[in-house]
Amino acid sequence: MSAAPIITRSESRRGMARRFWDSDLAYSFRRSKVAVAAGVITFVYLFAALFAPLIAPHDPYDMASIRILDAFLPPAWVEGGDSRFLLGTDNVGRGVLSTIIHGSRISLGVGLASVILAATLGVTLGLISGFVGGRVDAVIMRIAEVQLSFPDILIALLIDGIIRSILGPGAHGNIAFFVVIAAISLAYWVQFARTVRATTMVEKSKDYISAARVAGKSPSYIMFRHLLPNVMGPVLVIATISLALAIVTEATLSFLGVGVPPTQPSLGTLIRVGNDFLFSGEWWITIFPGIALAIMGLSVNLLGDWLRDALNPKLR
Amino acid sequence: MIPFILSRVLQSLLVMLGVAVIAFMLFNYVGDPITNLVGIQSSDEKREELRESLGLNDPALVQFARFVGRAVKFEFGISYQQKRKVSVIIAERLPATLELSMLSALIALGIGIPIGIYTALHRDSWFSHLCLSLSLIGVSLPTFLIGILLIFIFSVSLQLLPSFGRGEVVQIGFWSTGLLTVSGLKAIIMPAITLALFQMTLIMRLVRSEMLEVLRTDYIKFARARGLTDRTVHFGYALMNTLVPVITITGLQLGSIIAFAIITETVFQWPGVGLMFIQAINEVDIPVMSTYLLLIASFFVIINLIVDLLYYFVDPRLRISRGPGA
Amino acid sequence: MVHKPILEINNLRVEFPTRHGTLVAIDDLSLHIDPGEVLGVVGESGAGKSITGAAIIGLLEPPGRVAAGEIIFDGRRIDTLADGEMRKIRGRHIGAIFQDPLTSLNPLHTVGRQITDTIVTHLALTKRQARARALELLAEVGIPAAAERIDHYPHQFSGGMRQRVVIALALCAEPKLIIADEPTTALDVSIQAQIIVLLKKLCSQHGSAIMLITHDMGVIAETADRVAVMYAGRIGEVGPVFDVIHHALLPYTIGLMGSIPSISEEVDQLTQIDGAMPRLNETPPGCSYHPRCPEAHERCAVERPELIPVDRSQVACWLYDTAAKDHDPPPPRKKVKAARRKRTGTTGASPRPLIEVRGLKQYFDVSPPLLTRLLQRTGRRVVRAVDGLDLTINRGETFGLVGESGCGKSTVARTIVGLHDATAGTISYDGISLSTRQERAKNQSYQYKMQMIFQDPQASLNPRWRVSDIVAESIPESRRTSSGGVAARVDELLRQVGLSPADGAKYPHEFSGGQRQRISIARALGGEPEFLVCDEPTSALDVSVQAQILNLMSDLQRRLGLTYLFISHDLAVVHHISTRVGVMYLGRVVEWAETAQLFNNPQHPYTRMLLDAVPDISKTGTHRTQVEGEVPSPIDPPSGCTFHPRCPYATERCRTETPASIRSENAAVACHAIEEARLPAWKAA
Repeated sequence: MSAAPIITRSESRRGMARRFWDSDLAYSFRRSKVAVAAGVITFVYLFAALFAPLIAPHDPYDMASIRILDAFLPPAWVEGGDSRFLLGTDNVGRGVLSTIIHGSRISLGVGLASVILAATLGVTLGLISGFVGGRVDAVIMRIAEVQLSFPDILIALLIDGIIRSILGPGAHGNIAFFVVIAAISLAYWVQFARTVRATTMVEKSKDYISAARVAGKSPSYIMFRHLLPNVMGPVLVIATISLALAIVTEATLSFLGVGVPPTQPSLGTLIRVGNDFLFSGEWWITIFPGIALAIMGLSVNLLGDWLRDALNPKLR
Repeated sequence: MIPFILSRVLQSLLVMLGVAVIAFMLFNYVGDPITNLVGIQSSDEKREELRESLGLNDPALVQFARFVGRAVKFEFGISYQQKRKVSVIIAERLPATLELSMLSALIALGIGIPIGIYTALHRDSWFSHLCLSLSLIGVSLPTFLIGILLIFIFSVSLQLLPSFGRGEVVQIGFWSTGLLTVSGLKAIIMPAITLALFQMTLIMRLVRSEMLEVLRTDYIKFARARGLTDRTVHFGYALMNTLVPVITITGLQLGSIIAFAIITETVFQWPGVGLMFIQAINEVDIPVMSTYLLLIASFFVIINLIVDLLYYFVDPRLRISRGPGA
Repeated sequence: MVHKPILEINNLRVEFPTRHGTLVAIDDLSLHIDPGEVLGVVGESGAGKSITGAAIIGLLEPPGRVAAGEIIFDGRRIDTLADGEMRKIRGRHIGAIFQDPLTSLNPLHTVGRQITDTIVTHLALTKRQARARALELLAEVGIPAAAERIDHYPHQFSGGMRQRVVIALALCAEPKLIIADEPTTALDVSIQAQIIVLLKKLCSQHGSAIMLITHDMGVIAETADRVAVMYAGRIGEVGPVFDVIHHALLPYTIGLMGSIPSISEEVDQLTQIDGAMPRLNETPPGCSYHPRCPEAHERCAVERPELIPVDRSQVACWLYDTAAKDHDPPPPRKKVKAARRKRTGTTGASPRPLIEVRGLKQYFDVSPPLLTRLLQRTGRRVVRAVDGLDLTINRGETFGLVGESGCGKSTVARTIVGLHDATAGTISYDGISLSTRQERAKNQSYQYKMQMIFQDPQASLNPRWRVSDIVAESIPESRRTSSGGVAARVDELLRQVGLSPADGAKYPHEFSGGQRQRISIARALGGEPEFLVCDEPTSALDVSVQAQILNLMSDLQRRLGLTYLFISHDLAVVHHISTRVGVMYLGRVVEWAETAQLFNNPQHPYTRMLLDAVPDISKTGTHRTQVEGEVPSPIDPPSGCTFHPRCPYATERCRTETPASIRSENAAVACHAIEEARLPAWKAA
């Protein structure tokens, strides 16, 4: 029992980084080639989304730079293609590659915004529900149960439809963005709330909470300083999976025509527009955005899968 | 047992009532039905007359009661766009959706469950790895994309299958079926697979993870320690225990097939109630929207009820309360 | 006549390949079991006892594998058998019993189905014959109304009954060897006794040998013929039970035996082994015990000892290597027979009550929701956890509150400290009433004088907080004048409980169970409390670690003048540490007295039953009296004296009238039979 000096804060932080790298989580990531690949791809998408205006070869929404004569050009490696437009052009003359890059930005952006909103709403409600219990819990859980028995897409469609009806059939522009984000968030908050509530109820009965109560700490102190850090693990897993689902849902809504406004098309919108030309032979207008969407969804899902396995204590 | 059934039925009715409230509010308060009927130009007097005759000035509760009363008799009003009775429209289009959904459900369950079991029991075989990889793709791809890809391959490139419509349809009483004609069968294959894929992969992954969970339990360990054969352990013990929680989720998933039909019907221009709903949203056809809502909600509520009752019968812990100790 | 052993293990080595390298769980282990004998395998957590059992029946959790050595069963080598062959042996020739009867049984199959499945798999009987045999078995293990209960589901049985079913399952194919892994640990004391008796009886009747794996020496003392002591994956000592317990040879065993409290002996300090068992990847070279061994010398750090025969036992220790003749064997264990500890309150000055509880009631409403109640026509259901409890705790003493699960002792603890609001009754601290939430809010300063230590070292520390933050939590706001001051106080507290200030920067998962409990204690001391409520603080710890913590607590009590309310189900621990003891049954204190008096001359029939039932190391090889009945549920307690269904002296009056507490000078008991002077004198078993 020597009287060793206390470790300084900076030393412990450095140690924390080292510990994280050495930890089971990071190790499992490094080991899994699939996870690394998925991580890289997702990062590429994120990068493209952030810097779209900079890296897209053309600006597809600058009316001045589009020439109708460039329309319906096939991909560069097919006969009749143009090296300026690597993946061909659409019916108006926009480069497909550029529209995909900008479209990914929209898809990813809406997806992330929805998930963050859903997570904030769900985690807060879940914490309160689990911790306070009683009537509040019963009400919140009732709503959640009813909502859960309907599939997400339907809820999103419903909310979208209702808001549209209230705003009138001419609702365009940026309002549509918020409508879509709201619709998706309101569809997905339940998953967060349920998991957080379950974890809260388990943790609530643990004695470190009792110790805090004996020490006279207030309920909000306990909720945010004790419970929240312990709840974040499962939340992260759900967030990743929800992101994949949100991206798919947004694409579906846009494909059905009730998603983001056509002036700022997401990948889903692009697919819808291109679908009309599938039979007349200009397959690239819809297939390439389709592939881009598929790869995005796949990599996010893979990441989520890996994360869930890595954080699952029973599988270690 | 009876009290359990009663309480569940009561809860279901409450949920239905809640949905009816939403549908009613949609019907009555969103947009102005009068404007839609007579246009903006008509005089205030004419409008007031119409309001009175339609009973729109009565208190909300009375209107709601009337709404519910009419709904129970399957009277849902008149579509704004088509100027026909909504109930007729739905009756025409429902068989298409139901046929598609049931076929998809059969495919999803029939393939999903056995493969899920296989991948759980034979974790390291190449087939399991293949199925798992494919399942990941199935979960990541949006349904409409799968539909488009299938159309691209089989309709555009190979010219094998039709890409829209139901093909030839045979009318049996009030039901129209496409399963009795060759063109009908050809038309239903791709939509059914598209619809089934997502659910199938979901069910497969669910069955697999549940079974893996069960195989790790103490009572399976104890059963092995007693020397029971692998067959008994896997199929007599583990499978039963796996299927119990799977039933609930599967039931809910099947319900969502009916909802996902919306997308599939859009891609394949399948003349079902899903496509009808999308058109209604785009045209802001309130009566159709709110009726579809009621219809779908009742499907879900009924499915949930059946699932709950099934669960009750299968799990003895719910059926038989704890007896005395000694 | 030389018996051939039914089980022989030679030089077994079990490895777990992990990414940190290969962990050796079992290292060169050899033992044998003769037909029909009971071999106890005892050791603390991490010693490898369960893994040995799993290796024998071939159910090691992957990636564990047998890396070397051989396991020979009935003359036949079984560790190299293919899985199909091994399966035929499992259940039929070697049976297994695990710890938790709840999770060992499939909840979806009836009990009868699970038994007949096993019978049909191993014996060539028809379904009908198998069912008849199952009925016989159920009756044999003591399940009443077997014909009816054979078709019941596991959740319809109580814990003790379920373990009987598990035993029936293990025995149904008449195996020659049974591996029982902690079969009684999850059960109440009185039920434990029943199961031990049953196991012994059945095995001698059916001629099966038992390998009894447990950490509880008391159970071993009463049940086993021979015992093997395991440490860090090896056997340190093996021999006849009486020899090993009372004349241990291995220094580890000596330390272990000295650290176990007993209900019949009084010591001031328990023997304490410093440190903890090394983790699998940190095994020291040479003899793995040498860093903690008081007798270690140079050879111990370099060479690993093999088992050397000494008298009727075998020991793995260089002290007994007569060839070397370096050291003499250690002298036989001497118990520190201290002068009687000063029992504050009984000598000299009259006792000053610190805590006074009167008529405490704590009811919990566990009714199903309104809708269900209406439809099922059931009424409200109320758990009467505490049902009229009176208690007085004097300054400076340790009051032990003892009872089985469900008796309400934890609830009493939590109510006194303020975690629950009492349904009725009064609680006062040093004369100030703290019975309701409002009163506690008004008298915050008094509230801070009470603190609590919890049972589960894992769950009582927030895994995401640093230790220094955890310990600082209970320092009240008024004392937090500067961060430097808080840090200094945290260091001081850590030192007080035997940890170092550097530990403050670490996280809970980096510590062992015993160390975490020290952190808990440090946290409790933060606000300079006077009164500590300890809710089973050592129940989750290994015996040697328990000794460390108990000694620490006594130490702190002396230095800081603390008063303890010590709650436990372990009579021996309570006997060791308490000045006065109270016995709880179904929400009431049925008897309290000074420790010596209660244990030497128990009055209440329940107290007597408990003392009789406890497996204790002093009861080696004794025959025990049978104990009846199950612990009833606090939702529907029996009328009158709640103990009457299990009491051999119950009369009609006991069924209808709740007994009042009869006070004598320093004791109290509530029993009609005593009031009516019907109770015979107590004869210790």
